[in-house]
Amino acid sequence: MSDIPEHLYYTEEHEYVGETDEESVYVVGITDYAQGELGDIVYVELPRVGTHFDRMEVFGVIEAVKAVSDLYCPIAGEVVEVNEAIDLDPALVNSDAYGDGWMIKLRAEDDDALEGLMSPEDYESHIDG
Amino acid sequence: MTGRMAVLPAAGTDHPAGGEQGREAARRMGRLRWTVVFDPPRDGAVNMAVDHALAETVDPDAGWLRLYRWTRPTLSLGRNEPAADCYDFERAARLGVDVVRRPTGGRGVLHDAELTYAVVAPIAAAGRLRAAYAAVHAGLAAGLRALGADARLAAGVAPGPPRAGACFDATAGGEVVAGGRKLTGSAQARIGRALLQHGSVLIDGTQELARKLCRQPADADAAPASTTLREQLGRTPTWEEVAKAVTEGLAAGLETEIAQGPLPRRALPLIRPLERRYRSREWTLRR
Repeated sequence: MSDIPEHLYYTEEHEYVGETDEESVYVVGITDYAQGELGDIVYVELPRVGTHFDRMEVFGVIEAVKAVSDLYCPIAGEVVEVNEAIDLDPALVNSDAYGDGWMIKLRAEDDDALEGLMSPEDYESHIDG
Repeated sequence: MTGRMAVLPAAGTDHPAGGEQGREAARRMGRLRWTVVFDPPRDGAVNMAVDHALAETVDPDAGWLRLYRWTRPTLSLGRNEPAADCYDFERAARLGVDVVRRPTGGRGVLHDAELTYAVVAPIAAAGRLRAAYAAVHAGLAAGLRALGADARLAAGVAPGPPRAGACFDATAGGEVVAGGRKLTGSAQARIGRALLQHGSVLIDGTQELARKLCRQPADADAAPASTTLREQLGRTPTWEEVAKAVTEGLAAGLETEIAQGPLPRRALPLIRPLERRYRSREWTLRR
């Protein structure tokens, strides 16, 4: 059973978005379901701080033992922080996808950045489908 | 690393890489309309571009099996394999070996006397990545058994960072082995809404050249980790013979029919731009 926290928003491609203490800044990572699907994660490539992404533009790549997947940016905005810890220890994404395994923080360019993202209930239906 | 692994039967196993999830993936994938393309030899950049284009343009109700080969011996690198400082590319050129970087994960593979396969399916139908991996391999193993090889799925998992080195030096759980040695190496990528899984069925030769191109060679005294159909069958089957067996094995494994056809027209316009990417030094030497 995958962990789907109530306070987060989700994409069909299994990224999550969470609010932070700073207004308009959101944290992005991949879901517990996604890390379980990929298996042992061995490499994560993340962008530099300052990079701008459009909504659903590829912002990085993740590799498990055999499988590679692009990472899709759920909201448009500029990267303000990157989790450098997962560069050294990619397994953090497996062990704590919603905590220490977060990937980037973005300053959203739109006020309605969360619009169009999936609720926890919708995401649960999506992965059960 | 010797690569000798415990093995499990390809069908009916309760191994996590196979078992019920693998059978469910096979059922779901079997509902797709499948086409096999017997492709003429192409060079590395074009081969990767064609696989990628198939994935980019996948239909929600269609699956593709592309069987192909290479115009020259080619070393393919894993998408994130740190190869720039590890492989001797000048030596590769002197030996007439092309180098290309794949869109999929894993380590370096020398493509020469082999049948290369690519399976492309919509993720919505393929379901869980590892289950699809097992379903495809179970089909391949069935086809290779029909040829006479004692092909089975390897147990166990060999996790590790995408370091440089020959893919056939290590066996991961769910891969096709014969006599405890790796007969088929595969890798996956999720590209948009498609799953791309491609890999090599070794017909003849060795992966020795891949090791020679690696500046950090594996233990020279180690037993070979890979095997070939020639070793397993005591004769060298033709590419066409292996292609037919693999197609029939996958069709049986997915309980479906696979019709022969050309590459889909909508994939064709993407091939040239993708070829440019796969031919660029920027991509090949990205790590």
